[in-house]
Amino acid sequence: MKKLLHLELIKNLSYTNFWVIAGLWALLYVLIMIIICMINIGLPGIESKPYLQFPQVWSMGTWIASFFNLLLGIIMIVSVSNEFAFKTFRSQMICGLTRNQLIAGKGLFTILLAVFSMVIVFLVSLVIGIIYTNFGSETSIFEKSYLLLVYFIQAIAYMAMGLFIAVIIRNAALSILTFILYFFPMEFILRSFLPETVQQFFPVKIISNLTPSPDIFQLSASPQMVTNINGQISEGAPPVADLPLNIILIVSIAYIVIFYAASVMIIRKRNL
Amino acid sequence: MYCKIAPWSDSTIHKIQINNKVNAVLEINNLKKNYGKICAVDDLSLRIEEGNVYGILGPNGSGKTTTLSIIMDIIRADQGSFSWFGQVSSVEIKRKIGALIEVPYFYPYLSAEKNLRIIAEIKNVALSNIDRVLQLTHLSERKHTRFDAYSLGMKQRLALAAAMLGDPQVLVLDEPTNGLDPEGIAEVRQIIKIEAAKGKTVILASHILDEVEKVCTHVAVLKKGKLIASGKVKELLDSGEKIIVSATDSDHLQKILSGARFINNIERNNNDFILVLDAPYTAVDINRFTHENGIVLSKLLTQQKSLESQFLELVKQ
Repeated sequence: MKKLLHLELIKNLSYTNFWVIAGLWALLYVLIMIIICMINIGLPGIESKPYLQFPQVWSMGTWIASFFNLLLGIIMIVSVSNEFAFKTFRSQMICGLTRNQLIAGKGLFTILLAVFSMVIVFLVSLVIGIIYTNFGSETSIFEKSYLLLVYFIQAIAYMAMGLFIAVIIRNAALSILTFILYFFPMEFILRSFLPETVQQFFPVKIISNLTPSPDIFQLSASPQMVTNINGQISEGAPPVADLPLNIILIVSIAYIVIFYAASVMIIRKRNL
Repeated sequence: MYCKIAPWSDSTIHKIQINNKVNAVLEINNLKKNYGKICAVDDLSLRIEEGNVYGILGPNGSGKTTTLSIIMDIIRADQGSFSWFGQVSSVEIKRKIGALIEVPYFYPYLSAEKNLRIIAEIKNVALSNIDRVLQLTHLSERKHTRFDAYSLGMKQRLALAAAMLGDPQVLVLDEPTNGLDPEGIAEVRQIIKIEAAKGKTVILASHILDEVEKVCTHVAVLKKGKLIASGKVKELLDSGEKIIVSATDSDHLQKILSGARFINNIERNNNDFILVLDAPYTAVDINRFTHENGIVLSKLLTQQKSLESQFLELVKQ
């Protein structure tokens, strides 16, 4: 395990493109969060921004971060398709890695990346929360911080999907294109032919629903919503009731397992 | 164990060969691989023993690389089997083998040293080994250079260095002198000879006959995926000396020569006769024979049948 992870680190940490994409991820995320802090929603009667206060800030921080998960997926796609392009999967097999270990290495690297992005989301949200919260006696800083773990699963799911697509397509440019097009509009088109109960279980739908939008406007416009925060995710009451978070989590994890299992099966069958 | 074999005792040799079967490094049985309609490897069986420097010789597209890829597990065979050291291939076995298949594949953006570190880590080889192989292949000075800045020859040498990491018992080399300058070719051959002298088994695929002849002890000749000849290099490629003779009276000479039983083939080229003799006979016998028959030769030349032509002959069959 340690060996596989170390191999991935040697490969990726010396790779300029990795730093470019990862740097973009961090930079864009931090910038967008700063901009959100600067936005003034011009509604009368609002003194501060509730969505930047504890505990809402966890929901906000993870929701914004989820937009940039595509970049994490792209990091994984580039990493995997490079191995095909440079034929290094092949040379590593010759040296004595098994086909399972090739995928396992990517899995470990995925977990490491997810941990790092979670830490960044945590730090950024924490700082914003500290700045904007008027600390009272009943302020619970970490009330919704479990959303960070949900975000962690979501980041892994995006990267697992990236890995899966890269293993099928093997070419970085085409894989990235497929990945983005699948997010929009391919899955949307597929979904629209199916009944709503089935729609809910599509991978992108499920995975992006892990971190739903904090519903800023309803939250700030209707005073009764403020009292309504009790750990429930779907405050906004969407037209079709979203699945409860624990179901979404379980299905997401199932998708992660499916993506990895399928990748391993494909790698095992193909000539490298 | 060292065994002295009496040169006359064929049966002893036979017995030793049977005993050696225990030490088969690689056994390939009825291997078959198709790429669509094209048959890359067709019912190939080979046996490579410990300490052999085994050349796999064949023109381009004869299935050499496919065969090596199959035995290194990167291509799946359609049919047939192979075993390393009498066992089914496994991760542990692969770590005993240093392989260079076709073109060297490394991360272009990593330095030579980092590329080797990846391989060393996979093979569980101490990192100190990296300097040793870099020195062997004369790459020490450029070890911090990115791989994509290497010349073709340097890339090839780095691949050889990677194959030798961890001092493996078996080297599988697919056209290791590809892209090297004459000096580089000589160096690589020297390295192979040194490794072979240490008792290592080397499997060398090449389309260059000269290379196989200079480096290998055994050879298998492939054509369109089929094994068309195999055996010791000496036996397979050194046979068939040509002898060129002439005398003042060519017609008389022809008459006498056609009476000699040990001459396999006579070919007349103006006043020269090109002879191919049966196995143990040499130019000495021809000289004696004609002299005894009252003819003094004005020309007696021995010409090694060119390897190239022999190879082409084999491939044409």
